[in-house]
Amino acid sequence: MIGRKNNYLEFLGIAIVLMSIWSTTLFAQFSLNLNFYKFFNMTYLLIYFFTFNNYKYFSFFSMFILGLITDSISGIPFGTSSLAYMTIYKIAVFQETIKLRTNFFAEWIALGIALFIAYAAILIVLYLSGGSFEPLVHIYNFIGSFILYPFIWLVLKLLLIKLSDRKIND
Amino acid sequence: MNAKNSWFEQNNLRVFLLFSVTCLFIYLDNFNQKYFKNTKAVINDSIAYSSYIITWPIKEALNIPGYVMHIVTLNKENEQIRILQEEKQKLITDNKFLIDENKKIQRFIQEEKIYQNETIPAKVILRVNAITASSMTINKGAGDGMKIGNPVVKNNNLIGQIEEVNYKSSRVKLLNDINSNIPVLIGELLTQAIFSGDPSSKSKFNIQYLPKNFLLKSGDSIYTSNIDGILKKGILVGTVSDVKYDESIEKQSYSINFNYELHQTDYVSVFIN
Repeated sequence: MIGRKNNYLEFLGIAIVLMSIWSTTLFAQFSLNLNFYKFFNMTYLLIYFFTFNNYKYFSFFSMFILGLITDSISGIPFGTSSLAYMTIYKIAVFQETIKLRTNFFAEWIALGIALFIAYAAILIVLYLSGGSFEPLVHIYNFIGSFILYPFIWLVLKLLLIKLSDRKIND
Repeated sequence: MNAKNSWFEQNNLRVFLLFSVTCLFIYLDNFNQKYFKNTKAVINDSIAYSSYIITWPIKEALNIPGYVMHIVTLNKENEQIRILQEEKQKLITDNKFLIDENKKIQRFIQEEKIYQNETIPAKVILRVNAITASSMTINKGAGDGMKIGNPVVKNNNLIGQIEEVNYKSSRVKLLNDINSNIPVLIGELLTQAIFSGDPSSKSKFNIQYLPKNFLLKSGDSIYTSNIDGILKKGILVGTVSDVKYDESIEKQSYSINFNYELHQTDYVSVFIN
């Protein structure tokens, strides 16, 4: 029973990331023009968080596949999101290996660097592919994602602690 | 040299390989390589349909409050429609001009039937709003006669153009996509311009390349132009409204009215000729 719960919790990370990818299609059907997607990229934050917290199913290959799904859904050149996800994953893994010498602030700064490289990579690919893009929207998105991380971190930590407690009680 | 620190360590090699494959994908996609295009079409089809199946229960669950509200307001709406229909009927029988106008509309509907034969109905399976694109995926592909550039309409209003064709699905680039540029004819004088998507602006659209000193008027209709050789001439794009002129910057601000609600668009028609 505990083993099954363990698997369920491990699967939670990848399921939340997948939901964040599909959220672009879910929000598009509501009349409320909230345009959340403009101000932050939830998928980047979730990938960083779950990789940093050593969740199962987060690997270079899964980042590659998740990137292809994102690109296929949003219609941008294949591989663009994979490049961004793998960059964020690599930096999160590096930061995770030096976890003992780090604190939340260092984790946050490392996320900033990862996001900067990921957004730069996307803009370069979009520029080379000849498509139009709004650099300002991407800059706002980068800033929004960076600022939002502490809140996401807090919510996910509280949620995961609660789920772990329930697992122990069971 | 210690094997563990070697650059050719299995892990590093895997990372290098995946980064290389990613870069190769980007390269092949940009150059529209034939075999890659076919593989991409298969991947796109499978992701579009699996995404539709997976997100369908969530979409339905999220729609429940809307359904409840719809049932609650249904009686009220029915009463309003009944009153409107009575008023309309009275006006039609009373006014000869309106009767003539009605006959004219009926003739137009008959003419439209020929027009309808050139379209294929399609179901919207995915809608996407992202900073890089604004698009929808429909359930018709190359086998159904879809071609890149085909206009997609809803309620006789243009909503976008086919951007990518797979085997069993196609992606529609919506008018508010940043890469959407449609040649149009505006107003009574059918002035040529380019209607482009502008996600950063409030209206999400921009009318470019209008003649100098040209002033838009509220009520001006915007129709497609066949100047690019892809679009059919005369498809309604929208109607200009709320035109205001700011003398200090010598610029007009305006809104565009459409005859459809994009978020409620479940079925569309695609021009195949």
